[in-house]
Amino acid sequence: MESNRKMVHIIILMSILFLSIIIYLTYIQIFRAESIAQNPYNKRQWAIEDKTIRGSIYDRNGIVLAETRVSEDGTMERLYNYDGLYSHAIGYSSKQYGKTGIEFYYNNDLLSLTGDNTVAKIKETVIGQPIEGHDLSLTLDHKLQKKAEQLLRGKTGSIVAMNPKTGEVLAMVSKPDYNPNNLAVEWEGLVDDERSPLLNRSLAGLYPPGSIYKLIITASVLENPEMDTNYNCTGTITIDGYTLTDFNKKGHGFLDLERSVILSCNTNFARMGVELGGKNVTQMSKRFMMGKTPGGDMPIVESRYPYGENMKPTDLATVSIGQGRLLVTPIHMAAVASTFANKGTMMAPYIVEKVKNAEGMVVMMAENRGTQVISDDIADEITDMMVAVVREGTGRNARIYGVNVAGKTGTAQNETGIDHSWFVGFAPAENPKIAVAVILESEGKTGGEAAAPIAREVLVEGLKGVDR
Amino acid sequence: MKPYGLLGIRRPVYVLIIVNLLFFVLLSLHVRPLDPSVLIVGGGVIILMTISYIIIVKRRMGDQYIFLIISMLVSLGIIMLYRLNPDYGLAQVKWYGLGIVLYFTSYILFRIIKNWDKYIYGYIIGSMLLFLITFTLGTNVGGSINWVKIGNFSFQPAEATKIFFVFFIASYYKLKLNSEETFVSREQKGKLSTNDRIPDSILQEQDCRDYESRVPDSHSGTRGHKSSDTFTPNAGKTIISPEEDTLPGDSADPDPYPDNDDTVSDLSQTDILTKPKALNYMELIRNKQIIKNKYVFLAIIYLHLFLLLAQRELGMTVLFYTIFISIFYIYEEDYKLLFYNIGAMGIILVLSYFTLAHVRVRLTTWIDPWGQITGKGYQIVQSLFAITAGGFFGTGLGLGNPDYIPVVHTDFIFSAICEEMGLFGGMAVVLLYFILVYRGFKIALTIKDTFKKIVALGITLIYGYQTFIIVGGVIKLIPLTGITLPFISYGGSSLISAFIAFGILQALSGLEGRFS
Repeated sequence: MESNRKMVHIIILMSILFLSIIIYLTYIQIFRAESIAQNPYNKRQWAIEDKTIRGSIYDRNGIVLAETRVSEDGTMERLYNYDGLYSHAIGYSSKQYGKTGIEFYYNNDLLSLTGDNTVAKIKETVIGQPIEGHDLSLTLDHKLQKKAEQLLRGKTGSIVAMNPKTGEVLAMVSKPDYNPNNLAVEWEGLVDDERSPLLNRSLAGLYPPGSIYKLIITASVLENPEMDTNYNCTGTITIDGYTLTDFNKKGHGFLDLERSVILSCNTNFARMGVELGGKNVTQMSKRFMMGKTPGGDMPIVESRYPYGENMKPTDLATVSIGQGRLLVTPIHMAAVASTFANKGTMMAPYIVEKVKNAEGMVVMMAENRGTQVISDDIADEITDMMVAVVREGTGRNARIYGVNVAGKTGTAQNETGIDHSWFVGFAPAENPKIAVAVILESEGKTGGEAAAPIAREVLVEGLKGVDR
Repeated sequence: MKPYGLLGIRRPVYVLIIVNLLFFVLLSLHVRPLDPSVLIVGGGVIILMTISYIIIVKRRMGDQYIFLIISMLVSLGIIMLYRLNPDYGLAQVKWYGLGIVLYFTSYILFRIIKNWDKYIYGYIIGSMLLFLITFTLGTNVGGSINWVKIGNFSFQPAEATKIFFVFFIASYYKLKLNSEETFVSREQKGKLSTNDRIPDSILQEQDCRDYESRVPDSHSGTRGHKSSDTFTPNAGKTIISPEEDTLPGDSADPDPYPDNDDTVSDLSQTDILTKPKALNYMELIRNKQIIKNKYVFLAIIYLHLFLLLAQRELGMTVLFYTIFISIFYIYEEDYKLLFYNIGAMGIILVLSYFTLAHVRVRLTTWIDPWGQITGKGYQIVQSLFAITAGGFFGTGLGLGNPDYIPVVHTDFIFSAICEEMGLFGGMAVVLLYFILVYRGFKIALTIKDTFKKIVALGITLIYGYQTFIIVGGVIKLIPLTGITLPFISYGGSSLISAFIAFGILQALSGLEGRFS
């Protein structure tokens, strides 16, 4: 019958419609579920949190930094044992104000949402016993962190200390900070404060690197041995009609490459940068992850390197002295300094060493990840120059008795008109144990004057616990 | 395998009993403090279901699976609703009870009353009355005017309109195809069927010469002249004459049902209308000549769609259109007209996109709900959150948070099922609907009578498409249009109209003797 034949077509259509529902449902569940479930507007995340005792956070030596206490009536409270000391590193977890820091990007571990936790979930369901989250062991050293915080107190800026050979972040301080235990009271003021105390400058502060960028240019110069590095510095250089000057417009006289680094000679670096050309400068910058992040487990803001391989001479000159449109984060600079300390291999900085479940079993262990950026030899050569910088150059304030410290100062001009002070360095130069990056925002002093002494104190404290 | 178990009933009912037992026990554990009323309700549902099933089997009432599938879906709905809000669950159980009564009532009525296909005007008037009631008494719920509230009782007239609509289409085709068939029988028997007789008043005024001279204007000349050759005044009706040379068996034209009969009746109408008699209109209506015209038929269909659109009932509009176009596809031989109708809907869609804000909203929230997550896209995003929270096996009954979804108990109940019973639970529900639709098609395929066939098909299509429209909507496969999920969503009108519709299907299933 004609109508029956056509009815079969409709039956086929109906089958296709129903099948498409099943296929689409399966597709959502397999490919889209994770990103949908983690959407911050998904209230279900809070529902899970109400049933979970959030994991504790420890420093590298087992000191409790953050924990959740359950009171007798079952309400849970998140406590930060050192108030503002870890406000930027660990952040906060609050129903009202959201999450930042490790509390944010390790949220799934702290709530034990990762991996298979079926047994705990069934237990929770059947006997109402709350799920226990995973605990985190950080790479941070509580003593060093405390020292760094003291050193930066009253200033605006950031200190990042790391193990150059592994990428473990040993201290990470950003000022101004806040007390995560006291958000409800402080919140309004924190949001309105124009010094942005809620910003973690170590990961998200973008600054012109100033003279510390000369280290990267030096690496490129060393890869091009045919280049003439000797120069007679008169204190000014004119490139394409723009005049660039040295600090205080003081000429350095006759210089070789090492002296140029030691004295941080802008004019010679500008000249060498122009001679290297856009290709060399950009390729070396990209190898040092400019325009990207150094990697690792933290949400580091990408550095800005808005140039291609075709650069105008003026851009080359400004980039060579770490100015122009180039912007970097403090942790990125700590990773750059570590590269020279670690024989040319740049380690990805990370902050969580271990994730343990409630039974103490390790569910996640950090891995050291590194990228060979420059050769062993060039790294050593630059290290020697950095040692000279501290011994006899702009970085003398970072000298430590009996220890060879390698370093580089930077004084970065910026739109505020008041210079940022930079220092990056590591010690001991022969067998580096700790690398550090210090920036003091709009300090109005040179890196040697203001940042180097702070870096020195961090290195001294860091070397005390050297048997780690 | 022994097909009959204890009490001589088929085994699938045991599956239902077990599933219901498990779910209601689980539900009673979920409700705190412990509430034994859940178990009483559950027991009531199981007993109601089993007794009804035994009646269907013992009385040989046709298909034995439809009722089981429906009951499974309804009990899933009751369980979900009970878990969301015990009041909804309890109310739904009452509707279920009433639904079963109406199921059997509509079964009996459909069996007793034989000539359902004769009331085509009744169905049109019924639909229009329901529209009238909606527009005059309707309250605005969520942007649509679709609820009528009388005292404490509120209902959705569109639910009843669905059934009228299908009956209307079915009786139209019955009328149309019947008149074609009677031409055949008339030719053989040489007499008119009482049904199709044109009153004498018209016949007397009929001038066959007049007709003959007009025919070549719109028909192939040969046909018209030929027809005049065989014309016998005794046959009485100008309408039939052109058909005589196109009867089956005439080797010149293999098509037994030529598509030009309507045009012919058009002609005859104009012919008649030119005659100065006022009663002609009434006579034509009474004799269903006007309604047999396919353009009049289409006008009525589009009037339905337009009125639904005016109520901002997007889901219903789409549903009515898909039902119409599917049946039209099966029974209309003029493919050009079919394409015109599909094209017309396309134009209506585009126009409504540009003129109706709520249509635009539906489309933009479908394409990107995430950008409007706190505004227009909120509902669909909450639905997706629920579905993904369920994973493959679900959070378990009572352990999810489906209450985060707005109107979860009606339009979004499928998302709640997906959350707590998982992807597999959701798939099971979709497959249950599929089996139900399959049974419906199977019944429709075996029926020979055009009217009954289309009624069976129409009912099947209503619930098949409705399921697709709402499930596809809440999972963001298609734009979301508010419509209930048959048998599962909370709501008396939707549940009762579904039970009535399937009661009719049950009645139709026994007709050909294959299912009893």
